[in-house]
Amino acid sequence: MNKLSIFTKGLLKENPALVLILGMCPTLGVTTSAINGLGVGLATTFVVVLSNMIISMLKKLIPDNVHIPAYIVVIASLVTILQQLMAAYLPSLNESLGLFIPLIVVNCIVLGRAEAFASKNNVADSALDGLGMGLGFTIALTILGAIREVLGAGSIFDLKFYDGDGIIGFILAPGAFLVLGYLVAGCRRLINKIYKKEE
Amino acid sequence: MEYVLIIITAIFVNNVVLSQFLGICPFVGVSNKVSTAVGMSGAVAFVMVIATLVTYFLQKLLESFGIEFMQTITFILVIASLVQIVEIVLKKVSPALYQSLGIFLPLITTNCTVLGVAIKVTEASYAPDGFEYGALGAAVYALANAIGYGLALTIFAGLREQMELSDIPKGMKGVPIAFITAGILAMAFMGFAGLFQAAE
Amino acid sequence: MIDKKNPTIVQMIIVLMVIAMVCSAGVAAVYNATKDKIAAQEALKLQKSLETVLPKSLGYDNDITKTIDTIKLDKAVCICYIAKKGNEPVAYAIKSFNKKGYNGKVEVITGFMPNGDIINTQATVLAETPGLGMKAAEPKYHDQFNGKNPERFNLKVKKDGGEVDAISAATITSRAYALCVATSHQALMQYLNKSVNANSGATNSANPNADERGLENDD
Repeated sequence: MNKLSIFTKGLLKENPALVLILGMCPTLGVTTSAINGLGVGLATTFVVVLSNMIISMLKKLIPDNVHIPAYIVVIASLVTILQQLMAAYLPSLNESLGLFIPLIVVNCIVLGRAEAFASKNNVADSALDGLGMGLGFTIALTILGAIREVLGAGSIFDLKFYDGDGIIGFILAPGAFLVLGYLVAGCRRLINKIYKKEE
Repeated sequence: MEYVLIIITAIFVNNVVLSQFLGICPFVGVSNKVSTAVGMSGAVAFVMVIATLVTYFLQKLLESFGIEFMQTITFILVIASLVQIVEIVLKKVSPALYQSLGIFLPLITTNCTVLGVAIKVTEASYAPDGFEYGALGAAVYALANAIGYGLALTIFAGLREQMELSDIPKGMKGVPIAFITAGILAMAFMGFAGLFQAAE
Repeated sequence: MIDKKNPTIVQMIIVLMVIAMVCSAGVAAVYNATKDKIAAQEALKLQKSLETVLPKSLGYDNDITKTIDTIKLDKAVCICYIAKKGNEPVAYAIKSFNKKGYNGKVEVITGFMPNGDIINTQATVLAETPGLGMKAAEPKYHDQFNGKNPERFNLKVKKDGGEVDAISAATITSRAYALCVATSHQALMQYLNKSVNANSGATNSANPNADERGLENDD
């Protein structure tokens, strides 16, 4: 596998949120607006890149039967560090993302990439893989957030274009599931189209 | 009275899966059959109650040292090791139960419901007005959330079993239709939101 | 080196312990480095909220964040920030909270003129549903309190027989917000009454602020 495809596979073909169906809690929970989706997406990218690099460095030292606790400690520390940095430098975003920053710890994308990729590959490839996966996740979350914000609040990136209430259901839980369902279906179709042509 | 309120709110009004989006991955992953859904719910309930109780006291310890910022690390370590311990103990004590729950246990470490509930108990602002969680309250809250989780998972699995038999457009099969069903289910649960307004 | 497949128990413990220690040390280091910055951010946020509810045009010249008093009510404890010009209080900002919001805690700072008129309100803790309850932070909702005096303005939502226009589909949040304002007003009234008592000869003036007010009222 060349370097480019390690990076790009996370963007569409193996998009963690829309194809692998990983990390669903933040995907649904924080995407009430485009900016929140972008924020959590980038925060997750930060964690997954660093955790992939660290775990790839440590892969020879960690015995197999304690690898899960070891990985999770590394991930939890990164998340806590991120949380503190955000509280210090981006307080308003930190406030609106609330509970979902500590929950990056249990985001299956992070642990999943550590298991599936970083524990078998070198540092540079792991970093690339993390970056691709993280950005793919960010893109999915931003699109989902944008759709829900447009339909539910009549605004996009906090810019109001429609005066009045949107369709409230899209801001609430049901809308999250509905929009994601259609996005997953749409994404499958897109992948079919692109990759069938190549063959 | 407060306990009744906590239980009903956690199960119906603020259902962990359908209104708080916690534990969605296993919700989609293991909800193909009712029997596996029930097994998973049992395993989650078991771990969640123990984990919440342990982390409740752990939080007191962290507070007494003034190192609350270590919360995430310590909680997740406790949950991860607890899952391992539960697995080992269950294997020895009740092989039958281990048979039915065993395969779900490793999945629970990354089930964010457990960590989410453990963190929520420590934050007073989530408690009902004028109510502080004691150890008992924490356990009741965890159990109620686990029941809510099990309820949503089991209903959903039942729906998906039926869906296997129906004619669904090719592109929507599997995950997409599952999410749309979950959306409609969430809509139904929203009906519970007004439950406590009349009582005020 | 460590045998990855069949490690001894000692090796496992050592590896895990070393990882845990290094990670904790890293977290602690970042905590210490960002601690002051986080505290500063919080102070800045408070300052901004206070300046919203007590605009500079009132002409006070003290540091409001430092002129603090607590007011104990039956069920709540409120924090009172006093804006002074010289030694004379020109306005009060009172922070109170309740847990009746849709997602729990709602905390609001309300600015009052000494006669009880509301200057402005600002939510300091509000974690409601985006697009619904979060609209309580928008002027469209909270401007309705400005200039009102709770003695003549019933601080309940219209559904409950009051005069507050609730946000559509977010009555619970609207109620909680209005209740914060009402609690703050109640606290203000209690506070002002106490200071009148302090002035009218009650020698029990352990509170330095009460003392100062006593002096001004003599003028």
